[in-house]
Amino acid sequence: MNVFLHDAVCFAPELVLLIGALGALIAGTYLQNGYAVAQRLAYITLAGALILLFAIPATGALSFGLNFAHTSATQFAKIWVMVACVGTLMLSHHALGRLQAQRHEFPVLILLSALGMCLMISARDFMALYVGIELQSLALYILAAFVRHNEQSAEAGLKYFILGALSSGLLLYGISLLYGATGTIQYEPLMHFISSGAPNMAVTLAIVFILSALAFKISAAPFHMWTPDVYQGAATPITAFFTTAPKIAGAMVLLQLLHGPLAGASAVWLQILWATAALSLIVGAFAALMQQNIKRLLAYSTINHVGFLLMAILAGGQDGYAALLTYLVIYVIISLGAFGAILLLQQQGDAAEQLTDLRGLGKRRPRIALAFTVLMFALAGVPPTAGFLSKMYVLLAVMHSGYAWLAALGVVTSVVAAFYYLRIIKIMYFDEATTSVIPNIRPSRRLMILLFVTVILTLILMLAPSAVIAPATLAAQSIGY
Amino acid sequence: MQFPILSVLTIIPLLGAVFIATLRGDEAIVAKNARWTALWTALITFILSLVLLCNFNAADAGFQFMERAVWFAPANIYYVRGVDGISIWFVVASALLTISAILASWNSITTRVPMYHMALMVLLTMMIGVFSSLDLILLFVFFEGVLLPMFFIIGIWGGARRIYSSYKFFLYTMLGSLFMLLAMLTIYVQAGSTDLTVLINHHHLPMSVQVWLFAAFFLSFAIKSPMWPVHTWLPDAHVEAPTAGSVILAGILLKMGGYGFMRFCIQLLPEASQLFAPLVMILSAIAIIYTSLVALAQQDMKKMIAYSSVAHMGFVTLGLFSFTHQGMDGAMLVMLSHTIVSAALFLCIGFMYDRLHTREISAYGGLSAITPNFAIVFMIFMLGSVGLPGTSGFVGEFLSMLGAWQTHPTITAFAAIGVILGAAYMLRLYRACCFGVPATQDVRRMKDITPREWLIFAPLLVIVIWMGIYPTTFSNVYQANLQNILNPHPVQHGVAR
Repeated sequence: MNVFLHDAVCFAPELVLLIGALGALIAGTYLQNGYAVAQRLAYITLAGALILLFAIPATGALSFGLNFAHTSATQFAKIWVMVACVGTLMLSHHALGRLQAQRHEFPVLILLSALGMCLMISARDFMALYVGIELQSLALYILAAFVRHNEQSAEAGLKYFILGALSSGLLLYGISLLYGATGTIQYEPLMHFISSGAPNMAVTLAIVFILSALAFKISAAPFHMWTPDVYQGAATPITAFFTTAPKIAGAMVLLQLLHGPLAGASAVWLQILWATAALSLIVGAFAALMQQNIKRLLAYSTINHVGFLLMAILAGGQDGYAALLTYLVIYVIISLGAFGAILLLQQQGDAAEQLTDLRGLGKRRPRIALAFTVLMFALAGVPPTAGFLSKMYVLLAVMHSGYAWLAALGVVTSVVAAFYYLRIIKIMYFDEATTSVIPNIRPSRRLMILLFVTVILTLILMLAPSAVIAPATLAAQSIGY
Repeated sequence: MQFPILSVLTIIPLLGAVFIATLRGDEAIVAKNARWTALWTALITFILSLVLLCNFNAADAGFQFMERAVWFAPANIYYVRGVDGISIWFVVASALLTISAILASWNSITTRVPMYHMALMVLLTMMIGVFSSLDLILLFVFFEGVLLPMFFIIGIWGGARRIYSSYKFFLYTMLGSLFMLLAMLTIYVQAGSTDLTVLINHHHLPMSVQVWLFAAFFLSFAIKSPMWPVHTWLPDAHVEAPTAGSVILAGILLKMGGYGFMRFCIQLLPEASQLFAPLVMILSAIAIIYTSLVALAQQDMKKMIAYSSVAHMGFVTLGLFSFTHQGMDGAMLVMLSHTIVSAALFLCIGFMYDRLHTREISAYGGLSAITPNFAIVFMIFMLGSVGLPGTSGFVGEFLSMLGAWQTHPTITAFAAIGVILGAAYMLRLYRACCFGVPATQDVRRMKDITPREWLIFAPLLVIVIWMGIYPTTFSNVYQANLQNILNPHPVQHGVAR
């Protein structure tokens, strides 16, 4: 086949995203009802990208020189990035309307960051990786500050931007060091170079910088400081987006880097990785205990989950890869559901900012409360929900790799984390409501569908785990060299 | 293919819960329908569990009514169900006590009735699941799943300090069970399977691994059963739980600890269990004496029975870790007897609490004259708890001490003090409640047992006497299994009828 054509086919989903994003931008700028058109275009674009992702067989071939890979793992991860984007769009409609922020830039930014994430996932060259990360991050900074007349949102955007720029700088510095030491920034030659001898000082430093920057991007402790503020400040559907899609992309980048070009230097990154994983577990569990704001609490809960993601990456091997992919999928489903429940409450006129706002929800809105309960138990990893399945799979992989103490830490922090998930449930069911006024607003159908589907999946995946694990295992086979 | 009776047993209560969830309309009518639905569901489950019992072949030491399906293909984890002589009794008891629990809360639970009965139904599913699952992961799912409905039962319908207690209950047991999960995953890593039928007879784990596994399992089951010094969640949970919650908690949930000791520590890790047996027996003896003394000092009836439960479970571990046939036989009988007697005692306290709304021992008195029928019922259960010959308590305690005496006479001698203390605190409770002068005028107005309450007490009374006079009916079923545990030899599995 023609080289150009081959490259274009591999890159087709990204091309669709790009064209869709630009199209939505132009249409949104010139048309009267710009937001509605842009949103519809975004759905169509994402659907098109999804179809292409399913349709184009993953050959594992590299395209654009050696810079861009299309393997079953990247395919799997990208599909779930698209799902997270679709979920975010479904979540955002009413919330943006309430915040008077229904502007056409929103779907455009979602599409652009999705494009960035796809690039990150497929990158086999540090330059491509950097471009992907920057595209994604810039879109995310703007999204964080999207409700621009809100002080908190503006603050979140600024904070995220400054710290994000710092971490991008670190990343770039690490890459340049790596280039200086090895003379290449492509994954494959790098892998040969690094595995051929003991890593020298420059490579070690480079790995430290790169890992720090990536840890920042997926909000792993001790680079998590921005997370609670940004999560709280950003509009809720945007927080949902931060919780899901960038975590998939970030975790995939880490996985493919560490078990790809940097595999030879595992002596350097193993200790960094386990320390980061352990810290994330601890910070995520303990710092959340005293939180009063729901989104802040979910931010710390995310950090705890990132600890599990890092554990899976640390474990490595086919088990570890499959566990990571499974964890990501289930985590995305649960998170979308949890934010869906919060937004459904807000859409129906309930306050759902502080934990105390949820008082008496079990009586006031029994069905949403039940759904939220299932999702909280799933986040806590209590059977019979899918959250247990994913945690168990990661623990299994970690035990296999011999980090029993880390698994034990994961277990202990899970108990601590269970405390704050239980607290939410307690507030919903055990505490008496402070208000008896129930605004009677028709629930949004999109949010209802999203909540219903996520809750059902959360329960069903426990009964039929193969639905996730089989494709994840298949995808995992294409990771590593 | 045979009829998947265990899966059906597990699903029926769940269907009941779903049905209750769909009830709509006037609150009073929904409540009434929820009660009846729950009762009928539990009855059907109970009858089906009796069918299971009737078809059980006591001569076969293997697992029966086996079901097997692929569940978790890439990781080699299966959906395996089956019961043996040890677990089948707990399946039956779960269904029976759920019926008692529903009847006991007929009038006393008035808020959020449908949700309450849904919780009970889910609880029944989980309990049956625990006792009839033969895959480690599957069992863990049910084991952990028990916590969810119980958390709500204590937290919503409990007493004044219910929130503290429900948290303590949940987090305490979750900590234990997650270490059990780690142990299970270690077994999987070591042996490549999580199927108990494969593991018990065909895999010998190295001693260095067994020691750690034992520690993890032991922690989990010690919290669950509970053993001294990790028993502190139990008195809180019991005191705050509604009557039905206490009944299930004492009757079934504690037995998951005993069952776990038997299945995982003794059957799966025999060498490590032998090694740690003296330690466990010493802890048991301490538990028996210490908690009996604590029970003696209680003013709250539920707290007293809760502490006595810890003491009784001490006899279970004492018998189990003696590694003698009598000891294990005794441990099983103590468990079965305690299932009925402790549940019945909590029901008796519920009877009194429904009328006077206090659990203070000193608030009663003279009940033998005011409510004579109740006084007789209460006496029989009280004597069952004490272990008077002719009641269910005697046989088990006697056998477990007989077994323990053969291996560790000194420890057993100390444990025997607990029998005397047990009589002391139970008789003190009975004297204060039933004899003497009524504490207040309200006591004089207490009504005797209603027909609904007779329905609750009658089957339990029959079982207590039956087990005391002819325990063979109950112990016959698991003799082959005990033989098998003590003299392990490969048996054929899946020989189902």
